[in-house]
Amino acid sequence: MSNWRETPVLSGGHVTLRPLAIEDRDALVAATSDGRLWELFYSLAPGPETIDLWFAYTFRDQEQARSMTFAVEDKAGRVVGSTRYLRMNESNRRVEIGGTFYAASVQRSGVNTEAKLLLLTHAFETLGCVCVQFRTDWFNKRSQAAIERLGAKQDGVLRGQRIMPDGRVRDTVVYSILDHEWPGVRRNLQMMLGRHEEKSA
Amino acid sequence: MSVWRETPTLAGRHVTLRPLAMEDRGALLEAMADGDLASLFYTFVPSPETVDAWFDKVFAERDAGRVLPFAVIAADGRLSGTTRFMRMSEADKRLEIGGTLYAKSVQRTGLNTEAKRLLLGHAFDGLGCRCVQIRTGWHNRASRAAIERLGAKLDGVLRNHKIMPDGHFRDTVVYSIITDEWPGVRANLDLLMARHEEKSA
Repeated sequence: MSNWRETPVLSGGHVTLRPLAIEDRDALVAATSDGRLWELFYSLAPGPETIDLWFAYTFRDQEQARSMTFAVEDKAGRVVGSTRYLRMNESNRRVEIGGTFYAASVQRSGVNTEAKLLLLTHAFETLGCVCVQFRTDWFNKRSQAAIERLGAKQDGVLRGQRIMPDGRVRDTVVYSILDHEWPGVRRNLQMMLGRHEEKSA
Repeated sequence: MSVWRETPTLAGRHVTLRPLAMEDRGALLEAMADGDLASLFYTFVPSPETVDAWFDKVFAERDAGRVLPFAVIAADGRLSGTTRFMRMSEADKRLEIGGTLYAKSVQRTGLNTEAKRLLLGHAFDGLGCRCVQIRTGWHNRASRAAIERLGAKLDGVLRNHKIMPDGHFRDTVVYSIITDEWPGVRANLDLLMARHEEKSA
């Protein structure tokens, strides 16, 4: 099977990304319950009420070969969040990294930094991407700050791009990293990861 | 059938847009031969070699509910180009106007101005869109100037967004018009059309 169709297992020192399965349902709800992530008005993290619909959308998109969804496990093998490649476009060698959320207990811990390092390495070095995009809600300032810390550049703000479940019309901020920028972003992520390790040592 | 799935016939004073059909193949190739459009490196124009694949792709997207393709008929009854609604999302009340190509003989005549007036009218007033996007390649200066003349605003530049047939990486410039801006854009288009009519009177 093509690399563009097969969800890989990506292992680092602190986290492992592996294909999400329906058996992860309860563990995922436990993770998002830590911080009640779904209560943020701009968040798309699933809660107990929306998890089944979330899985249905996720697997439908995956069958159409447009996305690969991962469970994020910590060192102890506990599911602490989820992330994915989406809007995958093999002929244009482009993916988006998104649909990411983490239990409150692992936010700001370096888990996301290593997950991004693993996902970007696979995108640029195995899939041969020339562009990796990130998109977020105009009001999700924490996510924007996190994306900017990676070293991604802002492409623009797509106005009125989406209608959210509560009826709000959302502006979407688009960021990208291009293949020639990858070596710099990789060094930046490795440095950030080193700092997290010093702190927790 | 939902209005989001049905290609309408939109008739103006100088131009009529009607559903594109397989029978338009010959007339479309003839229109595309006027002006040697195929030599433009930054845009994709169907040629005798590629026209069948082009039709297949357009109709497949239409059948998937993402595209409504139009033939553009000039006042003399000749097929003078093509345009389409694409990336249609009924849930987000959003679509893109694109895939627009005109024979050289009708460029700068006001025909495109009226075609846009009809398409935007249908999108906002017929379909109830919240957002209409228009995208073009970074190097397509004529197209960018035309989009800006409509009154659309620049959302951003999606870097390395597409790999073109000649292998170059295309940056995609994204513009949008949102609901609240439509009355202003409509007044602007009416003014531009009146000017064209004065000139040709």
